[in-house]
Amino acid sequence: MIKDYTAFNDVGLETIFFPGGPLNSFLVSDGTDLVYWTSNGISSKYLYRKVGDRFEELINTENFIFPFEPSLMEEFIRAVRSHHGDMRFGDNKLLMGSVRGLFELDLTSNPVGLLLNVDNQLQNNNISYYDLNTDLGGTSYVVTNLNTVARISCN
Amino acid sequence: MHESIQDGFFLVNGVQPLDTYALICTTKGLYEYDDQKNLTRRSEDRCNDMVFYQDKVLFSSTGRISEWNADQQTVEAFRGFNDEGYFNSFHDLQVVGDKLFAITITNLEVRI
Repeated sequence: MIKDYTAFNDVGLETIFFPGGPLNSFLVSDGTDLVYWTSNGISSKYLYRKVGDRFEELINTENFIFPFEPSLMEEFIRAVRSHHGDMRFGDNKLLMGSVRGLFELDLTSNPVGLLLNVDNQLQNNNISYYDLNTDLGGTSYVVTNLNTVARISCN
Repeated sequence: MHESIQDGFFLVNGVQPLDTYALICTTKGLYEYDDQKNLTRRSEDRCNDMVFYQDKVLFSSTGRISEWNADQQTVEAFRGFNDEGYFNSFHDLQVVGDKLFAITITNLEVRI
């Protein structure tokens, strides 16, 4: 599924239309590339990558076939069908924060593969990951939903 | 490190570290957290996301994109951005090259 840009006005704003609207949608960029994730309600879960001036679909969880352990896949699907919080790029990988943990995706594989649930490794699975900020020396600066800012190293 | 914001339940949507303090973006506004561990609310607008763009800290909220004035420690309308007609809430923000991308509740919009 590829979506076109639609000119919005003459001052540089443009609009891209996605199916169902982008409620609970998230953007991540490595400075040159852009990945977009939409998770509105229960039915629409798409991951797109911006290629030139278009977006290409990377994941549609309604047709979810990933070559990894089934239990991990089920955990990931539960996460993306929950409200999830943020994404970050790193070494051709995509870190995804959610209320069900912190997941790592491999964007170089086809189809896109789930590498691991980082949250389980950190044993912090009671934390909701609403913001991932890697500006501080390679660590992940993780924000929870409990009125609390937590800093957790993923190195 | 854990620091608690004692102002009822709300979501923390972003953290932007600056030289001597951090900005914390929450559903109850924008907070400044300094190196003496003082927490001060600088805006009561709901803050959905923050990005660093063209030497400015921008944050998104309902119907507008605003910028942090570090000298005045205040929040101002983002330069050149006219929020008239934006009835939607701005959510996630990202910078790609020299472009700022913003999601509204109904569409993904691109500012060049």
